[in-house]
Amino acid sequence: MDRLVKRFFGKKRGDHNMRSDRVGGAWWAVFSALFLGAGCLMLANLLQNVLIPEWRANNQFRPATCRVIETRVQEKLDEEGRTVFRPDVRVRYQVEGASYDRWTYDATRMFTSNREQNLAIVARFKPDDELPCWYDPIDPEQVVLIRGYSWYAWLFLILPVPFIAIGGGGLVYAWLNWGKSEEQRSVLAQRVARQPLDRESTAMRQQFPYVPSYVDLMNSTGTQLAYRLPNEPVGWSVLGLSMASLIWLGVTSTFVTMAVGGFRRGEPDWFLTLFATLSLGGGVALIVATVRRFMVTTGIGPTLVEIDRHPLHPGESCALYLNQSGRLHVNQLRVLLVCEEEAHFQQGTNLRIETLRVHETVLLERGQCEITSDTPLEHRATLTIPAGAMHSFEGEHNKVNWRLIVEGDVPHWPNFRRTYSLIVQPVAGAGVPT
Amino acid sequence: MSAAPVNIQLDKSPAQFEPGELLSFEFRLAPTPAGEPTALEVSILWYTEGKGDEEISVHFFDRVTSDTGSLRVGQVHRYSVALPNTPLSYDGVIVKIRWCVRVRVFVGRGRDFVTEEHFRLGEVPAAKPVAS
Repeated sequence: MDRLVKRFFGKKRGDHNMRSDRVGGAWWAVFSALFLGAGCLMLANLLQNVLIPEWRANNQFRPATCRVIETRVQEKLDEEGRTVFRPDVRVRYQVEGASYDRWTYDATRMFTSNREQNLAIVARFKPDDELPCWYDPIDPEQVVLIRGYSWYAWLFLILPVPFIAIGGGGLVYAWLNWGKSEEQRSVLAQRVARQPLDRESTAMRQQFPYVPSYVDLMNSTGTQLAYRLPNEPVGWSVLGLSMASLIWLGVTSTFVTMAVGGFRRGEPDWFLTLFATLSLGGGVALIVATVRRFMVTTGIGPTLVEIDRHPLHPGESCALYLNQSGRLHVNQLRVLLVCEEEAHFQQGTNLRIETLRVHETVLLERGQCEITSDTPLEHRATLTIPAGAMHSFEGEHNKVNWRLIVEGDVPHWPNFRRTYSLIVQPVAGAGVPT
Repeated sequence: MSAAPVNIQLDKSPAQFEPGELLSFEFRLAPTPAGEPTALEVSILWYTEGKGDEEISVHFFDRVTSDTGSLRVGQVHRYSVALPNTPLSYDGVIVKIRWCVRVRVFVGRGRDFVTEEHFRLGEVPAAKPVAS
């Protein structure tokens, strides 16, 4: 919720924010109240016109017998100027000695756009038919010929729910935060955001707040050194890209079929043709990306990276072992130790991520070499985190990441790049509790 | 938000602290033309600057109202707080982390005055982009 408020009304980037943001809170409250009001109006309308009349007809109306006088399909123009219809049956019935003559059918008396359906309904009623009916004991002029519930009306109940939830939640949020400073709101948000972690991670977070936990990096034991580092997933997986390609091409095929149909009929739609062509181009690009990712994933053997200690500290060195297997000729293979800043920011409705490398050490640079299934490329090195370097940092929108990157240039094959996270904690200085 | 009727004075100068070190400071409430203070908030916090959306995290927070403490003009407020180990102050290229003591004085009808005193946690040198 806090993120949503900031997105619309808060300061995002640029000037440093110190204001208590009462105006933003007031706008948020107004916005929420409008949402809540719209939701309540929708709900009230649904209750008044559909749900309550149907419930009363089913549960409170009393049975009687009526005689059909005549039938018709009533027509009117709706708000958008379209003709809509409803069945109308004129009946005559008696309640406690009094005679009533009414046009009726069901409890909701709603109009629909299907004229044939309404004609079929009224065709079921013939003049002079004696039929059961149900009248309202409070107002006997209200009578229905059929009872039951409209499933669509209950389905429509879903419509006001998000409006009421967003509006109501927003108002509660505005009330809870009204008059509170940015700092007090932050304290409240920090309390709410504290997620239950395992004991080891919690202890790490308490000792080094906003330094990511390295527990997950120590799950796998290495064969040569203490820990084998997990490979960070980069971008979309082969499966994700394949699914995206299939969906994209499925949608595109509809446009292409419509465009081709237009040409066959001699009525080409040039706008649709252009759109279909562009969409097809996007589909081809997705397929190319999928094939490249598939080739890199399956064609190049696994890259094993092991280190002898974790976490790392600025000024410290650790041993590194690299094993690149597979059957491939490599033009160039590089292993880099990098530190990258990562900034997440909203640009319009998009979430953008920008990274910038602020440290790079080349640990291995190998030219032409042959890797076979019997002789994998093995390399041992020492990596050193520079003294005074920034520790790993993980905020909500800002990060400082230390990584090992293995990148290779393979002839006639897409270049590959595999990354491995490292966690760098600050050196225990004079004030750091050990 | 206007210039605050307080002047925060850190006990240490230069304002360079080790992780876990005790940060001591004081400030005195000065009179304001806007009226008597109704509450004040003292925070030790870090915030980010740079390309990413700004984030803020409060390490220490104290709210003083006339019910819980004195808001007399001239009153000296003194605090000593152990700093956390991380995050360290950082002058990155697109990510910057700044630490400060912030005092916010409320003077009624929603008006507040804010003052900040920045300090550095740790000694991480400024970062430079790697030439590509």
